[in-house]
Amino acid sequence: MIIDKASLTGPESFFVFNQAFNIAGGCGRTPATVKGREWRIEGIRLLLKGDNLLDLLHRQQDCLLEVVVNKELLPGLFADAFAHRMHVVAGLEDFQAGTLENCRVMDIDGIATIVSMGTNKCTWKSRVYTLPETTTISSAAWELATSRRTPDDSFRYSVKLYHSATAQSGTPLENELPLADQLPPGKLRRADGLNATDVRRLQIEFSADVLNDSYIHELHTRFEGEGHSKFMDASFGRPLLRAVNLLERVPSAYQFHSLNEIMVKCTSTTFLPASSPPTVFTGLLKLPARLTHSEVQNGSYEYIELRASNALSSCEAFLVGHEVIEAT
Amino acid sequence: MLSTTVYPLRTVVGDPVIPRDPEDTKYPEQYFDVRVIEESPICREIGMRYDYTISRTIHETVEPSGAFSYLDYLPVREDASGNDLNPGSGMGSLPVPPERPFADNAPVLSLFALSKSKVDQNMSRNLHVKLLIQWAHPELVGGVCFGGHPFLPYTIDDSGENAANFGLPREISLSPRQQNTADLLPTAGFLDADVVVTRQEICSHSGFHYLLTNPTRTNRIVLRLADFPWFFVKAEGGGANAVVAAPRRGGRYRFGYVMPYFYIFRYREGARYRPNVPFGLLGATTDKAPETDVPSPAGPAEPETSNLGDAARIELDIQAEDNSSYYSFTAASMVTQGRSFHVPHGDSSPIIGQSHQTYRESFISDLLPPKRSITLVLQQGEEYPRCIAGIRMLLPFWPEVNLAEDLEAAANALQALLPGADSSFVSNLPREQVEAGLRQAIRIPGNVDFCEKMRFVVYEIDPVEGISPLQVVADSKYAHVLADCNIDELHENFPNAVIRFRRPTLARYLGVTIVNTDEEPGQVVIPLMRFIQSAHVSIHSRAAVNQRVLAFKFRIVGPSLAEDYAVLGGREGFSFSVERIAAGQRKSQLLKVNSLLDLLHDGTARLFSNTRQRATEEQVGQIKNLDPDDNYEKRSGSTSSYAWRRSEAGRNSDARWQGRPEHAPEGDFEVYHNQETRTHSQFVVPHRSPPEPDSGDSVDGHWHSSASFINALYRMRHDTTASLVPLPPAENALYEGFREIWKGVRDSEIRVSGLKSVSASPYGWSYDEVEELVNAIARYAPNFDLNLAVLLPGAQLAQLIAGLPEHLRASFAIPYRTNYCLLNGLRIGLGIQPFGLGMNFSGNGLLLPSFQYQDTFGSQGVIVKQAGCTGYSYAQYLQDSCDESKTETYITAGKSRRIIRRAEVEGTDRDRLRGAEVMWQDKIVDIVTGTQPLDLAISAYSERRLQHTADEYIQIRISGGTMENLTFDFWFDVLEEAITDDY
Repeated sequence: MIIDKASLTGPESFFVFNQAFNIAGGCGRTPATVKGREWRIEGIRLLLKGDNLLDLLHRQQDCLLEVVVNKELLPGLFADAFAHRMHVVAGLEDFQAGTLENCRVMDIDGIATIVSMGTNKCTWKSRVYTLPETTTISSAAWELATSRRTPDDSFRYSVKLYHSATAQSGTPLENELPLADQLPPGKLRRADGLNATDVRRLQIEFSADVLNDSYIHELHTRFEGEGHSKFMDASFGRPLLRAVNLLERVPSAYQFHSLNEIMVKCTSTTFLPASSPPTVFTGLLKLPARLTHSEVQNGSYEYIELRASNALSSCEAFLVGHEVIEAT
Repeated sequence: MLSTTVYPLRTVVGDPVIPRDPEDTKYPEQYFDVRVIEESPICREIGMRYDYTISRTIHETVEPSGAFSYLDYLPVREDASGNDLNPGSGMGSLPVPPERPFADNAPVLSLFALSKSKVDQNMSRNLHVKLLIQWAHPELVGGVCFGGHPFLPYTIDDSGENAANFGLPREISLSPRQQNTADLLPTAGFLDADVVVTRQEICSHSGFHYLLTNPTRTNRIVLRLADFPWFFVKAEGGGANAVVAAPRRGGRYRFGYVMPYFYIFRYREGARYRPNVPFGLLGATTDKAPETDVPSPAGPAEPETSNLGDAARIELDIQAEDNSSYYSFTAASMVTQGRSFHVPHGDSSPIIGQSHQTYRESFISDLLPPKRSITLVLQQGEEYPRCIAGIRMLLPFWPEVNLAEDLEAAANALQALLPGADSSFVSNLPREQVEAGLRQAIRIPGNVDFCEKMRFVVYEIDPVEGISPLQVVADSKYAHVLADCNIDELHENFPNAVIRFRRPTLARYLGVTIVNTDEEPGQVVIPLMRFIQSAHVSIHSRAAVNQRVLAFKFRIVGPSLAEDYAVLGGREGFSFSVERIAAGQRKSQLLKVNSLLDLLHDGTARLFSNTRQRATEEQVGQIKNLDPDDNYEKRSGSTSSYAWRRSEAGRNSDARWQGRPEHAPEGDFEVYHNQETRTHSQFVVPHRSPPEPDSGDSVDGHWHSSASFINALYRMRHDTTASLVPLPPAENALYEGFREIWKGVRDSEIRVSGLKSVSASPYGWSYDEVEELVNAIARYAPNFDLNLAVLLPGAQLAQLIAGLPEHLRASFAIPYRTNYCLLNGLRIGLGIQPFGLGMNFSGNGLLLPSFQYQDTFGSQGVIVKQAGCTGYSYAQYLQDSCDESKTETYITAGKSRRIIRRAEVEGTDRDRLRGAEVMWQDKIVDIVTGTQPLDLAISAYSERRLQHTADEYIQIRISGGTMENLTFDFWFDVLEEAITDDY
């Protein structure tokens, strides 16, 4: 096995905008990593120039510098890891608080999972969750216990998001947003560009038509009650839903409106010249990140993007870290 | 994260709960009671019929005796001409599998179900049945073990489902039910006391399966069988070649199940450490991509058609020459026992006079074109996956080029089979003849064309959730190649081909791809394939699971573990080490244990041992009598016995010495003795009995007369009144005082009568006459004048006679007698001796008789010296005396003050007496158990990883000799995390 590790260096480690290393007024993005290559980023070395950088120590109206770390946060779902909040509906308590029909909640491989029972369509509908304030759901991803390599004729499923802008309980959720509609298991389990605004209350519905059963080997105790199949009366179907993740867009921690904010995140900062108003700033922006190849990257991939305002006369930056390669 | 435990050596399968009745008095039906307590409506709709049989031994399952036959599950086959072929002779049998988990004589429950209706729709997931199985006495149940029918034809659909699934339902739930009896009531009343264990699989293998439950004491279980397999009514091929054909009437499928082996076993922990690991076949596939038809949700998936109509079919099917029957040489037979087929043939019989040819089922592929392959997917068949190190198989073929090494290997094999045989002919035989001999030896059809060049690729399969292992191919990221080798030379593989893995594997599923690397088509023939366990224990990276090995645990159980701390395992001894191996190299040794002390000194192990003391010691006690009252003991007792005794000795005695050999007597029985005897004898005078009238017999009268006469002479001569001769006593001297001792002997029987001695001439008087005369003389002699004589002169006999009574005188009237008397000078006289008295009369001539009457009185002394030798002695007697050996001793008081010194006895230090505090499964043993924390991460090799090798594992290297009495078990606590690559 060939494994090698080398420091990131050369032009490839620089951010480039319009084939120039100065990205002021534009943005630079790292290229897509190929299979067998991984970038292990420790930070970004910045070289910022301006007429008088002391002026930029104050908060600016526009964003002075922004770093976007686009990662595959969930299988197939790429988003800025520092600019999103994730709402997770999962676990035994969430699942059992909802209504179950032709399914039950079981511990599969240590994870609470909704398992279909019998041969009829199984449905789980969560309870209604109320958020502290209205928010915007930008994307969603859900986890199924079954691999995407499962034959498409094994089952079909749908996921719906019901939401409302009102916080008053008991009122119906007037908005219905289908996240997945009769999807086969091989499709990516995500929904991008949702832009569900003013979400104060929400509810998730999952339903599936299971045509082929899967592996289950479990020791379980007897459950009898509403929503649960009776003791040994129904056949097991297939482990299905494990979690539904809803992504809310939030301001990024790497969106800087002042040089002062940049300095907080940097080490080894230097202003030049020291005697007169500084026109040059150098520093190492700490940014631990790992950029790897994804088998499902298609259009989107893992990258780091650096956006610089034209308030800066020049912005040069390069990545500090290592590149690891492995022969496949 | 799933916290789990990996048990590479652990077994929890005990004996079946129902052992064979040793008296064989029970009917099989008495062992179990099996009832159908519920079935799904669809089961009733299609007329599902159920049956079960109970066999006394597993050998009775070869052909079931119930309502169903194995033939009911085999399809009618349609040949190319459209003829219907039935399964041939032997196809309906099920040979006993060689790797069976229980004793042959354990009763076996067999479960059967088959729908009466033939249908075309997939009803499998709508079918279920609940069975209640009860037996007599509650047992600690650990689970059930069951096996299906390995020779059923099947298809594999796009979901990776094996249609017939070797006769097994895809979902099996087991619930040991609580008994509503008083002794089990403590668990009754809880809402969640019942536990169900469910196993649902996409496809099942052809071997034995285990469904484990927590140890539960019960005598009944509820078994729920669901998602039944389907069986073809009609097929266009057998075995894995099966393609469903539409029968002339009815549907194409029957649903049901066939489970010839079903055991309920006790929970009993142990460890298995033996080479062979049973495997079962999941399915056989070809390398050609299937021309998939998306199956309709309403019906069973259409089978692959690619393995038909193409030269690369999987299994060989033959049909009888009369086109009446077919026979399948299935792939499953190589991991179990193949059937025996009796194939009728025509005139081309190789054996004249036989109407059929007998074949033994082996895996025989259909003709495999060059560069084409067959893949066999197999699964481990024990309750926990074992570490597999390689494959050993019987792979008969004869290479086209006879290398010298090949010929030598063949000659050596022949020598092993037939020692002393001339094996030189091997090099001279034509290849065709050798192959014919091979075919005949393993009893396969004569037209099988062996494949001579093959490539074997063995890989482990770790499918992700929802994927059938039958869908994972060798170059998938969920497969990892363990061996890749070419087999084309005989000497390396004759008679057994061995494939050693690059590293051991704990994988539950293995794939074996066989590629025909020859330039010609050929048939792969594998009569036997066995998977060999690694001598060591290891845990490896998996394809689809990240693992964090938290700890390594061990348990060693043996009878003599704690005898010597310098070794591990007692007298048998072994050692082990825990090593971390990466990229084929030992990176670190985490633990090295050569002795029990190695385990104990760092606190990773605990020892549970029985106390021990030396069996032999020299013990010296010295009484310390400083005070008279220091040591004393008072006892009282009594002894009695009542016993027969018998003793025998002598040269001819059969007695054998029963004592210690060193005490045995030398030579034969011998007794020597000498003695000196001094005696004093008192003679008893004749007894005077009361005269009997007219008896004429008065011996005591003689004595009385003689005594009176002699006493008269004595008194006369010595002028005294004393008596020289004692008169007969009034009482019997032998009797008086001994009356009780004579015990039944009467007084008259032991009277002393004196001795009479008569000698007479044949011409003289008869004895009667003489006695009468003597009696007469004795009776009348006292009337003689004592002055007359001491002895009567013979001349005066006449005078005496004249004086006799008339009847006596008459006896002397016979002239010649008188004359004779005279001639002989008859004398009658009395005599006295030192200790006796007698009377005699005699004549000097030859004609007169001589009569002497003598008795003895007085006493005499004798000293006798003698010696003797006894050659044989036997005595048997009842000793009816106080000889009953019963001793009771009561120590009424005691006191002992001693100084004890103990010292070892050389050569006996290892002989020890052991206590019995620690027991394990009814045996007195020592136990060492412990935990070694590891906390090592082993990443999944299918996950995106860089700078992390997947070639990493932890190995427990075991080295030791024979360990028959030693049980050791190693296992790992592991956190598992399924990778999310494909989610």
